[in-house]
Amino acid sequence: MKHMQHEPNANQAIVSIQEATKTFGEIVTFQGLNLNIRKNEVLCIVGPSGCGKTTLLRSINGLCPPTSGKIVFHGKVVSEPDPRMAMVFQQFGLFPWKTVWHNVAYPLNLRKMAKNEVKDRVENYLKMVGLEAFAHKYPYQLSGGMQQRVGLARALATHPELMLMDEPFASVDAQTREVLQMELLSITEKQTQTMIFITHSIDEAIVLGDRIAVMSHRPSRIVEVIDVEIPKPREISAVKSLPYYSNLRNHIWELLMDQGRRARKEVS
Amino acid sequence: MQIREFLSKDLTVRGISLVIVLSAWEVYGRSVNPILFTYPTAIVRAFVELAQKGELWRYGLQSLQVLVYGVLMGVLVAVPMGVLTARFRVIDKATDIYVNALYATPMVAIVPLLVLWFGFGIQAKTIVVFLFTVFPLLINTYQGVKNVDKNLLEVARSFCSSERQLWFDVILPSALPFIIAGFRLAVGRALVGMVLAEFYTSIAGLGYLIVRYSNTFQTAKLFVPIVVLMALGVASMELLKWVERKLAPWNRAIEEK
Ligand SMILES: Nc1ncnc2c1ncn2[C@@H]1O[C@H](COP(=O)(O)OP(=O)(O)OP(=O)(O)O)[C@@H](O)[C@H]1O
Ligand SMILES: [Mg+2]
Repeated sequence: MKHMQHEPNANQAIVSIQEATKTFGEIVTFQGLNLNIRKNEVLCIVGPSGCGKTTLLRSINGLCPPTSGKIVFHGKVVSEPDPRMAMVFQQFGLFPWKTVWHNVAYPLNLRKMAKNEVKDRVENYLKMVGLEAFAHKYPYQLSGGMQQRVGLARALATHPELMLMDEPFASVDAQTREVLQMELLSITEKQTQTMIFITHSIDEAIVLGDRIAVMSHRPSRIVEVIDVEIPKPREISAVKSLPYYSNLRNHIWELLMDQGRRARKEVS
Repeated sequence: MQIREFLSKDLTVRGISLVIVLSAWEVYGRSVNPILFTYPTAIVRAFVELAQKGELWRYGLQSLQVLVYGVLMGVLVAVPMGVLTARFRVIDKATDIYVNALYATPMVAIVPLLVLWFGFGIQAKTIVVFLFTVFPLLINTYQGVKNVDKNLLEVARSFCSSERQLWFDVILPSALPFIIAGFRLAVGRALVGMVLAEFYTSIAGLGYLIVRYSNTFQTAKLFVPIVVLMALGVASMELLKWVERKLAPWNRAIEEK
């Protein structure tokens, strides 16, 4: 795949969402939504439940193209899934009939990668998420947190230019969640990674995000994009004790509450 | 305390139960007219006699042959057809009236017709067994393919899977436990079909032995093919459970959770 333009520099958008609208029959999810994702940043998206976050991520991934407007990835309009993106799913999305090893190898084999390279990568990334001892177990034999580590390893192993994370830590318990956040931070320290991270948790968004996009109620758009001015590497407990942290938290909370109030008013 | 522990072992309980029931049968069976009923030791004696004469093996193999051919034909037709009907709406709608109608028909009703068409040989019997097996397998395969997890299909699409790969990576493995369950059902029905067909054709197989010995009132010998059929049923069920554990180890464990 040859590209005529140069590698986009740090400030250039790797993904550009332009006036995108997606409707399902009567339901309008997002409408006229604009958002740019820069190379090497972690962009967290928070928004009320049902506002279309998953749909937006699926649109970026090329699984459901927007009804109008466009999503541009590397200068090309996205119309189908692109191997340079990799998704981590909320319900893990592991194949129950494949072992951990084969789940991680799955996208690599789809790409017809050489056997020994697949082996190297799978081993490497299983080690990174601390699961090398569980390579030959089936997903049902693992806890939720471990299953999502497999999902993470599977996405990372493809060396994606863009990682799409749909509330990846929402279905594990609070403690595991914090451990996974720490691990994700340390992984992204070692190798920079462009990432769109959807979450319900304001805390998670601040801890992980370089920027946070706040989405409105349906028909949704981006209400505000906030730079998180906390340098990386970050340490979760240290971050949470900053006064800046609680101010930012309150600010985002207010934005979301405001959305809730507005939505209720429309209903009544 | 020790007695309770001794009794709590499943195997011990089964063994004791077996001894009691067989002894009761033996005692009662000896007091009844041997034309109407028989008892375990008489069956064993008859079994040894039939085995030594080679009769049992000859007729047993004939039956087994019909069973294997019929089931094999059933699998070869039902699995691809189940996959196709689940995948293509046109094929589904073009065939589902016949499938539903034939599945609802008691197959017993058309056995005489088949014998009339295909004669008394192995052909008619194989077709009967085939008809007994094909529908449960077809319907289970169809359900298995239809039941594939939409989320996993999306995972595959997200990682840029081709349609062909999707079948091998997602749809068929997800349908496999359904297909095996259908196979278990099918084998049970196949045994019924086999004996039935042999009753009608009456020149070969275990079904023929049953007819012959019951017509001549040799009740102890009559029980021999019955016991063999029972053993065949139990053995094939156990074999299929084993196959399922080998082919789909994830499934049983998930069901048990
Ligand atoms: N394939 C679809 N067909 C019809 N409606 C859909 C489809 N996918 C999503 N929707 C609708 O679009 C709206 C947004 O759904 P979406 O899952 O994107 O929201 P979300 O922000 O991810 O919600 P949550 O926070 O609960 O995960 C919902 O009302 C949903 O019912
Ligand atoms: Mg969602």
